[in-house]
Amino acid sequence: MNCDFVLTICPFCGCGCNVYLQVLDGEIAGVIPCKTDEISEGRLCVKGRNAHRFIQHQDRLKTPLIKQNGQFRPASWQEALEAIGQKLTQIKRDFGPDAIAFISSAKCTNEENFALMKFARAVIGTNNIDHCARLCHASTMVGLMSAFGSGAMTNSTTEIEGADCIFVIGSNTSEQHPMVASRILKAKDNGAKLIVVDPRRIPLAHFADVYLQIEPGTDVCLLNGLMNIILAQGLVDEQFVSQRTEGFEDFKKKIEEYPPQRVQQVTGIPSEELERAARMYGEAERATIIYCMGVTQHTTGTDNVRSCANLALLTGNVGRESTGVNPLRGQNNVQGACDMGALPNVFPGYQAVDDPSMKAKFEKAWDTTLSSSPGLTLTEMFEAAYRGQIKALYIVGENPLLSEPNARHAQEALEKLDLLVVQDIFLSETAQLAHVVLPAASFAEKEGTFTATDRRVQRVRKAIDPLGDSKPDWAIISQLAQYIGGKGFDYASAEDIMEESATLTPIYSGISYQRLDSGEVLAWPCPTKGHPGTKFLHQETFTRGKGRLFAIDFREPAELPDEEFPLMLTTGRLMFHYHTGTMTRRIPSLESEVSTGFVELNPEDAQRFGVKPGERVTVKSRRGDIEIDVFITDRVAPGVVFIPFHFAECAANVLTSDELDPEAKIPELKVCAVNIQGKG
Amino acid sequence: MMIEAVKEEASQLLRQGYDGVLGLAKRWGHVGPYLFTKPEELQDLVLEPRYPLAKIICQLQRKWPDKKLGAIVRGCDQRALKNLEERGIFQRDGFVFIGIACSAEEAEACNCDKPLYDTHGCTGCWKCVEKCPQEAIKIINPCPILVPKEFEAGIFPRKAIYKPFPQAVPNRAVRDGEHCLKIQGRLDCKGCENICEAKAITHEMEDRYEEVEVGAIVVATGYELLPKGEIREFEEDPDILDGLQFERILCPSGPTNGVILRPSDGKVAKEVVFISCVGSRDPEHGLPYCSRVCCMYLVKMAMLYKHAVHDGQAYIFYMDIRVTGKGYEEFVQRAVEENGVLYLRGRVSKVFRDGDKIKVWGADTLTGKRVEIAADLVVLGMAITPDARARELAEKLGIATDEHGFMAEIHPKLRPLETSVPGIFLAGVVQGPKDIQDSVAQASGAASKVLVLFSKDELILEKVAAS
Repeated sequence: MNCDFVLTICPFCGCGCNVYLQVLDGEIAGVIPCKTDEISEGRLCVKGRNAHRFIQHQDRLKTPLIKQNGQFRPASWQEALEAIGQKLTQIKRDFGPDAIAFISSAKCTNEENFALMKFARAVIGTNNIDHCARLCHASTMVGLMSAFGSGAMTNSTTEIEGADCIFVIGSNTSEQHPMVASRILKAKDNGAKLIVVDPRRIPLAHFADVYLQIEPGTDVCLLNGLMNIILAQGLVDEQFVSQRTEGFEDFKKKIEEYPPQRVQQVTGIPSEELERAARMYGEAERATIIYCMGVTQHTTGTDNVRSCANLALLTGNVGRESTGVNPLRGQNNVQGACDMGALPNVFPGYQAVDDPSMKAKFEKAWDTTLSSSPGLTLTEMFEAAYRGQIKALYIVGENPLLSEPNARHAQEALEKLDLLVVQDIFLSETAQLAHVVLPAASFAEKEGTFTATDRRVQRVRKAIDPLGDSKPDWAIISQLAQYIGGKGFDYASAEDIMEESATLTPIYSGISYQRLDSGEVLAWPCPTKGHPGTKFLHQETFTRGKGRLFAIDFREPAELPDEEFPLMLTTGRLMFHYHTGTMTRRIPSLESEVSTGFVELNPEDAQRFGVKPGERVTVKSRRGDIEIDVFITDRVAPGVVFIPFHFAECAANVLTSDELDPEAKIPELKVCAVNIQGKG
Repeated sequence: MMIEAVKEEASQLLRQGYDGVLGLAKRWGHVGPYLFTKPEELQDLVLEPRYPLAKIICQLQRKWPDKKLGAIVRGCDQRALKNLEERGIFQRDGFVFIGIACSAEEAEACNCDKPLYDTHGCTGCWKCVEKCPQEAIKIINPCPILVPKEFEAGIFPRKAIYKPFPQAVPNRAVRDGEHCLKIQGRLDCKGCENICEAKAITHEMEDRYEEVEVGAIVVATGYELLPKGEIREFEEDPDILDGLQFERILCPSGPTNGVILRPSDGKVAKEVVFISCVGSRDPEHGLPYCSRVCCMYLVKMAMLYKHAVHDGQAYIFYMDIRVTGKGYEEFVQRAVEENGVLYLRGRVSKVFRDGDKIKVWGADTLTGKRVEIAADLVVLGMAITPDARARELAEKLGIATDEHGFMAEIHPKLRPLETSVPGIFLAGVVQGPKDIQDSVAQASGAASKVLVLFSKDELILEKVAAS
């Protein structure tokens, strides 16, 4: 009789809820919320409640697979590592290290991201490492980094409760980050005002004091308009602006170009509503901005983020409790994957690869020479693979075939590779294209840490042994590194990796398993062993010194509706599914809630295109077409359609545009032009 | 300290050879469920916060049916497990509970509705249930008083401290000050006080009136049945029941667990006579109207009776079979054809006890013959009458009643929910006999009338002038 309740972290969104996995004789029987957890307060969303159901699913990969004559055959670890090792060495020799690229995983632990990052940089010698943050918060990293000096959520989740005004833009919080939404509603109960900006009438909109149904892609114009009113009405925090920010004069001139009339024309929001929202935010003592993919996934993503930062700086709503600019991270460890340097331009802790002193520090630590030229971003990797510049791609725990925009193009790119290695827990759509597939252990089968959206580092604990021959990702990478002669990969446990990363990453230096296991809540920066962690950033000064106000012009999305493609498509997620559905679509109770995709269409458009409820239609864009059922609803405005991107059989990303934000290289997943054709 | 006592109890179990005790442990800085298997592990035991454990307990039992297990649980879990036990999901045998009580603050935070004596003191630990040596009564109640229980239509008793009915909301015990020996000063009885570990029982609390300001009133005070004694030809006897009483005997969760027993001697009733229109459509008793629901409920009861007693016989005396609702006629046909319910068209002239049996004298007007049945049980479809206090209530509210005492609507066709006082609405039998469907429909209508009233910031009243 072996019964245990293992405290770990929910593997879905970035809220970072502590949960207990209930283990009965090696079988995971349930998920129990942790009542003493300050994030979840003992509640879980439908995904978290069912998190145990995919762990021991029959589809789990249990042995390495090697593709032979188009068919996978089971192989031993020895064989698989040999195949990968030889090919990698050969490609490195023939084409140089930069012909190899790595995609790390926001689902894996900090330790595993560190290990893969180290493998790419120290063993292979390339900075071509990135992960899916490129598709979600790359613009946050760039935008907030340039405005504040740090690209993370400025405040913590629990603080939202204490805000007087909450400005939610481009975040379907109640479906995607339920625990954050519960804080918003609590704040609302405490008398806070709620402003929701979203092209879809999301559930949170029903609770909003002001709901602004914005035209997709016009965020900069809206935010500039709000700031115009704030300036005109004298709601600026002048002391804050003069003492702690720079660039006000240029910024002010730009803002004056956005009077409410112009904004109304572009965004479709009446100027009275705009003024109400501006006053509400401007007059609040503690106002907080919460945003997500609706802001970042645009060709103007970086501009959008900077505009949010402008708004907070202008009104002095940064660097205090319950204020701030708070990007909600979508994955359990996307924050950690960024922190651990699974990015092409920085080492762990955002230390630039082209900074000679940083490079020297890491070279010394790893006893090797490193590349100083920033690598390719994830979106660029696919383009490079398509052109034949990248020969080998090593993907850990991601399914870019569904998450990449312009999915058909992505597939062609992957098919051109000489070596595609996929390390995953299931045979995902991407893994099916791989030459070698390595079976990884799920979150329940390994030790490690995840970093939640509000920078809080938390422990992941092993509940059961890895299934079959699968291994934790860090162990696979270490073995592979040792196989091809990499030094410094003789880790005995994940804790060893954490210790190494702490010595090299100043913001993590004070974090150790021992402190985490004693129940301490540690949010980085935590520079020393005695440091209590940082609840909110930029208290005295900004990380970069002064907060920077940017003068930003509104630019239209890359692709707008026209005669041929008259509708604007925006994509997103549903409460019951998670990203590409590899996990949630294997959970019967979630699958039974929503079992396939649909396109949301306004009744006016339904009439215009002669489409009946539930009818199967073809949705077409310049890049591809999918067949999908229609759901007629006024959640979306006329002219706008919405498709969730979870479902491979009607994948929204076949349609989306791969136009990139020039700075952050994030694709414009939220706006593209499509048309709809009924069967009749 | 409760925790020390609980630790001691748990460690005793483990030393006695129990395989595990489920409780809460503090590990990694957080508190969560834990199965203690060794006494020394109990140093990590904590009691706060509240975790629902019933599901985990069932899982453990299903996984390891042969192991001896125990659990440290609160009242809510014990109640949950009791329900699960009734559904066959949990086996209480051999499983040991170590009960812990919630503090008043915790109960408040959970919005816990437990059987409270003192509505603030009792924490629903159900220690009192555990203490009962035989599980003869589901909820131990040491009160020595027995009075007829209103919910069982007076045919079965209750104590002076009791739960009004199984689904009561809030689910609390109430105290009957009229019968309680201590409150009446007849005896310094402390039966209930002694058993309650939470020291929740006070006899000092008194009923009090509360004043509430409201914007609208829906009158839905229901009805009464005509008392059986009003019909002189029918004797008063424990085996002559009205519909509400027989309904309790039919109820699977009622006092007889759904076995059709005669109240007089507890034997299974083999012949049951149902008599409709007792008092209704009877101008002589001042009740010329039809009670509308008796035809249907009597045939339902006859059918249920036949389902419970397969070899029994059910007779129904009737004047007309007035079943006009959707599916009603088919229901009657089914009762006759499939369940063998025997309909006799005619009136009953006398019902009286004859030794072990109840004699029913009547006439079958279809054959023109006199009928005499020696029944075990007789069920009377008594007329529906207004509640005795309805007139008083109507006077207080300033609304009209009709000639029989039912509350009067302002217009029988066009405004059937409204009374002569704006803001006061009617729902259900208080307005006149009707069945459940009609009552629900009317109640929904009344509720929406109230919402319409509340949807505006200002109220516009019709001008009323005396003429």
